[in-house]
Amino acid sequence: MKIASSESQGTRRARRSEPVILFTISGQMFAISASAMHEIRNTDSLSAAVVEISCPSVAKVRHLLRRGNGALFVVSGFEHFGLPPARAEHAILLRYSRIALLVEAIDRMEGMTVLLALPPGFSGPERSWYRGITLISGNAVPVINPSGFLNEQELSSLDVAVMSALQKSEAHSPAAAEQAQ
Amino acid sequence: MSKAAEAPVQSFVVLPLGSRRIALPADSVIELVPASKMQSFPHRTRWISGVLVRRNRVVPVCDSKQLFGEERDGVSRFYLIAEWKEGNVRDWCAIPVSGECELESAEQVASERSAAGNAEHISGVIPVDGEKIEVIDLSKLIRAQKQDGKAGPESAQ
Repeated sequence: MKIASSESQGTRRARRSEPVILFTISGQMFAISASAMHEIRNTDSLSAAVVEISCPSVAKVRHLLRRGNGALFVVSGFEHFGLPPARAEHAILLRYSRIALLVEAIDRMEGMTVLLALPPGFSGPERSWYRGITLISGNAVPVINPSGFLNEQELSSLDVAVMSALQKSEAHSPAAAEQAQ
Repeated sequence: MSKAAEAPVQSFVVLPLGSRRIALPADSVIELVPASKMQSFPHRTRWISGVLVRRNRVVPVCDSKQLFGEERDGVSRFYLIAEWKEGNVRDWCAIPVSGECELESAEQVASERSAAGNAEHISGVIPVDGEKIEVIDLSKLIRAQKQDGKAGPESAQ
């Protein structure tokens, strides 16, 4: 699906509909392409696999989610979008990404038939947050850009924080305690 | 000896904005629409307070205080949608209006504020009912806001 150019009327009908998942953060609805999602998990089911990390320059990430041989950065959708905090019921694990996004609630699946370009007047970080705006029952719903959550610099800072957190975690593990004895 | 050139008569839309009135060149005005539900989503562009959806187009609604330095006077009855441009890019901006808008034909003359160099977005003034109404260059005003936004700290929605 292409985004309409700003010079045009601002809208083009997509040839076919793209499945999107609608979810909310502090009551605000967002859409994300179903193809950008790997999995939706209830946050209660994740607690055993989560490691706390501290990276003050990227305050929206406080946890690392261990998955098999890899790990995902848990991004607070509330902090990322500057929305009031609420209980995060679900985590959306993104496909081809190192990110799990904490959201308030999953709403439903819809077919997106139109994607409008974000007007050029918007000049803040929202330009990287969104692919554009879709219309759901007449309401303007921003469509998430999955690569807009963490930039390269933030990822590098988080990698350093993760190394430190894992070293601490290993130093306090039972195996480390046995070795010390 | 040559005669001084006369300023051509042009059409302007005069709109109330808080405690004063401003004018926009009529050819930059797209339409005046009844106040409908403004929608919002998270963003950090300070001069935008929300959006309208008009004919499958997303139209940013300006924050009058941020853009024009005027508090809104009462509930908005209309949105005046005007076009602005930056390079080859053209976009629309909805301005909340609480009173009547008028179409005026007048000769635009230089503005003292603009001549003093502290208000580049004022392209001149027109006389309306004995009052000097400032003619706003919306493109310059919005471009200045975008520059300020880049220079200054980010603000939440």
